[in-house]
Amino acid sequence: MSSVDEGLILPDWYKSKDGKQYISSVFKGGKRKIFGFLERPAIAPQITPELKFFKIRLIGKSGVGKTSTVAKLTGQPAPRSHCETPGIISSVAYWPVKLKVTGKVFLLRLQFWDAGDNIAKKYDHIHPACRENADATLFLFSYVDRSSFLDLHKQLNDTTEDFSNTLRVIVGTKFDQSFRSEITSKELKDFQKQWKIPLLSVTNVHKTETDSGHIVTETCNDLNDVAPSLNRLCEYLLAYDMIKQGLLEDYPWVQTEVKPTEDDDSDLEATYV
Amino acid sequence: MAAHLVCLTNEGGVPLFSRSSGSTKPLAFAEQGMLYGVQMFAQNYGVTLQSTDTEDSKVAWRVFHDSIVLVLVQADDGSSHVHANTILEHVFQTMVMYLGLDSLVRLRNIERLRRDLRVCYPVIDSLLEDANIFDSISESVEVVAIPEAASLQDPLDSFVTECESTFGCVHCNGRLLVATPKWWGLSGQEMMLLSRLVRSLPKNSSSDIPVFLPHASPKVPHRLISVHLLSGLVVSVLCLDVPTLATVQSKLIESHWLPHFEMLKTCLRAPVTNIPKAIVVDPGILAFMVVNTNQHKCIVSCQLPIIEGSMAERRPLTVEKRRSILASFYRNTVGTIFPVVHSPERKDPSGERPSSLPHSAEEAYMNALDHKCYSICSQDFRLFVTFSAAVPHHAIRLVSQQFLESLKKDKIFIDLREKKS
Ligand SMILES: Nc1nc2c(ncn2[C@@H]2O[C@H](COP(=O)(O)OP(=O)(O)OP(=O)(O)O)[C@@H](O)[C@H]2O)c(=O)[nH]1
Ligand SMILES: [Mg+2]
Repeated sequence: MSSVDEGLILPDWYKSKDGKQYISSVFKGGKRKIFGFLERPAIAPQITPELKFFKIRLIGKSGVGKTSTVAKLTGQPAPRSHCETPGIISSVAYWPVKLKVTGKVFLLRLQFWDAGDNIAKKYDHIHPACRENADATLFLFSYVDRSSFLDLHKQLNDTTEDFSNTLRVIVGTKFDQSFRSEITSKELKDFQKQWKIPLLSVTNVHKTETDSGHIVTETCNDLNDVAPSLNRLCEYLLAYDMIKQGLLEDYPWVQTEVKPTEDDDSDLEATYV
Repeated sequence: MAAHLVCLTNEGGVPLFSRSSGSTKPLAFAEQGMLYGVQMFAQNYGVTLQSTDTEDSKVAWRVFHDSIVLVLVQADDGSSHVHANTILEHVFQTMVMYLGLDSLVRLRNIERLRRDLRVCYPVIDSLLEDANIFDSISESVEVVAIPEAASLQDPLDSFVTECESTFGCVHCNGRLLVATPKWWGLSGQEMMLLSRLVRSLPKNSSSDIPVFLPHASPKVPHRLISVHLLSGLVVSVLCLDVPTLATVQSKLIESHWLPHFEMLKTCLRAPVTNIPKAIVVDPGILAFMVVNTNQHKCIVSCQLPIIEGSMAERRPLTVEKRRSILASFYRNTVGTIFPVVHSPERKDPSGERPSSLPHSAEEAYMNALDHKCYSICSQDFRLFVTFSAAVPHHAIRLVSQQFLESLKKDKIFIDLREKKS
């Protein structure tokens, strides 16, 4: 059995010469390639990787950043201000990864199912459609909205849902604003320990205030911005999948090397990125 | 042209939302209040305030169903108020499309309505933009004119039938490529708003969005299922309970559309000039728009190539410039010289003033330093053309007439609507 302490996949592989052959099928000139449902990334036949499909569902209150997170991960322009998602919008991204131990390359097809939180409450068919056969559920909270974090317990305890067969990941959005985080790093750690769920922190857009008080929104979905998040997500998906198939015994869902901190937010960046 | 839109409740003037075009600074709260105040004052005296002109802008008010007030503030380009009214009408029907008429007529929970209205922003913002306004001011849907599209009709019909529906279509880069007869039978406004909704979707997505049809079904929602077959080419179908989005994706998409992959690619690569292949365009033409006012279809082209050695080449106008010239020519002709043609479904007073002409005009033109414009208003067609200034004055009439005659005969204007019995 392999040691997974340092991770399943090679995190910097996408920068290597070997990795570039694959990355170039999904990124071109620093821009994400966009695929319709009849299209696939074109990779030379002699190096064609195994394709794996994942359905990923997002849960979180309105405005928490579901649509922005999907936009970042799939290479679409992020919404500048909050427009509620008017129904189910399901977007696709492809991402190649290389396993550390076997050197095998996988191409993951990630299909994100994002639904506006308010619209889902109005129409009955939306939640079931997102839930059906989902491989993973992302629970989103925002670093600058404490109530969205407190909601997580409720969502994870929801008895109408059955998460027993899906990977669960908590995603902390608006990480660029973490200097004014409303959640302490201790709380986060305790939460992860209690639920044994990995955490992914994302910055979907950078909002900075200019001297004149104008807020400038910059998208950040360059290759180097998104690769770490995609790698982490794909690592979790593959680990969960391998455990299900009996190929892996266990996986350190909660990074234990995180040292207890004196409970302040300034350490957040150091501990969780 | 900067534009501001304010939406308030008629009772009490509670602000619901406000939007501003592009990077324009939003209206201050006090300004919004004032816009409402004037209207309320008039209402209290039994007067309906429709519009006013200030030094450099135009303001138009509309009250919908005694419950919603919309105010539009636009830079004044000297055109008729008809067009501001049309935009307000589109904005309200966008709200109907997403939320249904009932929740806008009887306002229960204002806080909740304000939140719910946020789903409308992308389409409303697109209506305030300058870039693509031709479909909205002419209340018609912009179509792609390529003959190859006809071969996608059968695949579309069978796909839509398989989805247990009769309403379906394919959009290519935001313009309608093919549609079922029932879809063509929707009002121009409905087709136009649905096109804008589809345009607002991410290009790698499939989606399932509850929509109301402002005229055909304002109170009962349908599900608009849209799947991007290629990035920029999307098939949509209006359904009720079945099929689910997952079923469409996994069972129906590949089987119906993969056999036509090459054809879809061809359509996606169609030139941006959007001119029917068989038609020869005079090299002096810089931009044009043709509307079929009966079928509510329009073709717009502002990117005609400048031919080497042609007259247009001497004074090249940018695409944006051509677009704004054409739009402004349209706005200044229709509603003043030509009568307005609304969708028959539209029942509101349009704000149209009786024409100042004793007769009905059929053609109009305008000359400027760096361009010329010509327009023709015939039975079912309207043509608006921008010419290079180098085209001799006496030629623009004949060229326009011949151009319209050849456009009229093109396949794109075959009436595909279901025959009403
Ligand atoms: N500063 C900052 N703002 C963000 C980030 N992610 C999202 N936002 C902002 O949060 C707001 C809401 O984001 P959305 O992604 O539309 O929210 P949502 O969860 O999809 O909301 P619903 O569709 O209504 O359920 C937008 O104004 C975004 O710009 C981030 O990483 N940093
Ligand atoms: Mg959303």
